[in-house]
Amino acid sequence: MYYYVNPVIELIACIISFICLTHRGAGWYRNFTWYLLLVVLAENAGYLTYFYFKHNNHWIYNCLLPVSIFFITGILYKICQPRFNSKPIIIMGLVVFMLSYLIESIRSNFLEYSAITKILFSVWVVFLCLLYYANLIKEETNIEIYTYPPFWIITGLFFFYFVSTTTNLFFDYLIQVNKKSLVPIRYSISLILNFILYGTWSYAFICYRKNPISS
Amino acid sequence: MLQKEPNIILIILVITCIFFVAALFMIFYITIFIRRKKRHQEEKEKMRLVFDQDLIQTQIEVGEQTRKNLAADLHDNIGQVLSLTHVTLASINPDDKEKTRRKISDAQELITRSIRELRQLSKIIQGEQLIQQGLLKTIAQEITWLQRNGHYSVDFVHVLPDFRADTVDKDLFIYRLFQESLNNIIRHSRADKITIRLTYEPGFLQLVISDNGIGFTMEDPLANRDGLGLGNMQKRVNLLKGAMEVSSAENSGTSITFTIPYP
Repeated sequence: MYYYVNPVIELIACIISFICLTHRGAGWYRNFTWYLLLVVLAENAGYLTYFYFKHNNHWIYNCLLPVSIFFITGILYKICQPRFNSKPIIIMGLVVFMLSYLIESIRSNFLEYSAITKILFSVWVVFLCLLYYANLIKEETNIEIYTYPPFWIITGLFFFYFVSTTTNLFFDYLIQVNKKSLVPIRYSISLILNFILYGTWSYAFICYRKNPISS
Repeated sequence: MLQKEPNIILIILVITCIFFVAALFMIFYITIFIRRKKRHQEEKEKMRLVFDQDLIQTQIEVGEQTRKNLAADLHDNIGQVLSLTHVTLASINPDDKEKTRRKISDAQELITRSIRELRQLSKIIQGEQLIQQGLLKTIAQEITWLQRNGHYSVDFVHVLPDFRADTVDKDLFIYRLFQESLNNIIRHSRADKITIRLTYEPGFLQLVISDNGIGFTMEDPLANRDGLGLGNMQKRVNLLKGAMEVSSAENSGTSITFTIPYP
């Protein structure tokens, strides 16, 4: 049951995004609903595969990884581009991640999770988030930070990818420990981080619904 | 091995906690920083609005002062000269050719004087626009007008470089401060000597207006009721982020000093 908390958090975020972002003026924000729906489906598939069919579910998350990379890259581009020229960093990042993903996945016949790609992606996301913050601090625009959706979307991403650095680095080790220990350390950390990520995103969606603005 | 595993897990947990606190601290710092920046910008905007409102008020007051000067000039100078011309012309007796010639010559002289006065008057009307040509010219014009009525001996000392920067708004405020100070002298001081010093030191402009009049003390009901407009002047000086200093004592004149960041 403990393992089913993550899909529930994602489902709640998906429902909030559906309620807040389905109106016509939501623009690119509407893609959040589709992405979150896909994440919920993948999480459920992973849960069923592992607990009911007793199979390795890494391949499911490995399939979700490029989707996540493309979606989050898209978000970062949409949010960062109006503030600074993020195009070269984004294109370069995408090329590197795709190459790394293909190499890792071909090596494992797409059966294992591409942990190195995830580490590279995390570092890159944190770097872009920091650039966004630096530009936000520098510029003269008068924004209400507590209700500014792009800020909370970036904050969720920053928290998730920055704090998960250690668990990403020790991914293989923690997978082994997870099987033996009573308390699943990696899962517990990822549960907290998922709660923060989808919590801040949901908050951003609610802010967006109350005050629709472009990033 | 059993001993080693919990150690590694502990290290992972501690590092994760450190990362968590670091991220939390950073987000907290950014939100506080942006909130403060926003508040600062709002205050700046509010100040700008107050400045703009006061600028309009100052423009109105300068216009009013110009009209007052105009009315006084029409009444005291041109009106008098034209009345005299009228009396001179009315008293002409065509039979007395010698007197008639003299009176026509007098009337001619009076009309020439009227034309001269009218030219001066047109300069007063231009006073409002004169500020576009610089603070010094505008103040000099006001002093010329003051000197013409002959009641005051005015000593004007100025050391002001030629500024390229756009200072029209600031000049208008300073000019109005100057006008108000001068009005106080004319209306209340009973002085006959006025000294005006307009000097510039890098970054600051200093305007000192002193007279040898009856002076006042802060207990003076006129100063207390702000009949001298000192409160209003102080407010404008504050808007310009400058300083105002008034020194006066009974029967020993008044000196008012404005120090304004410039240009």
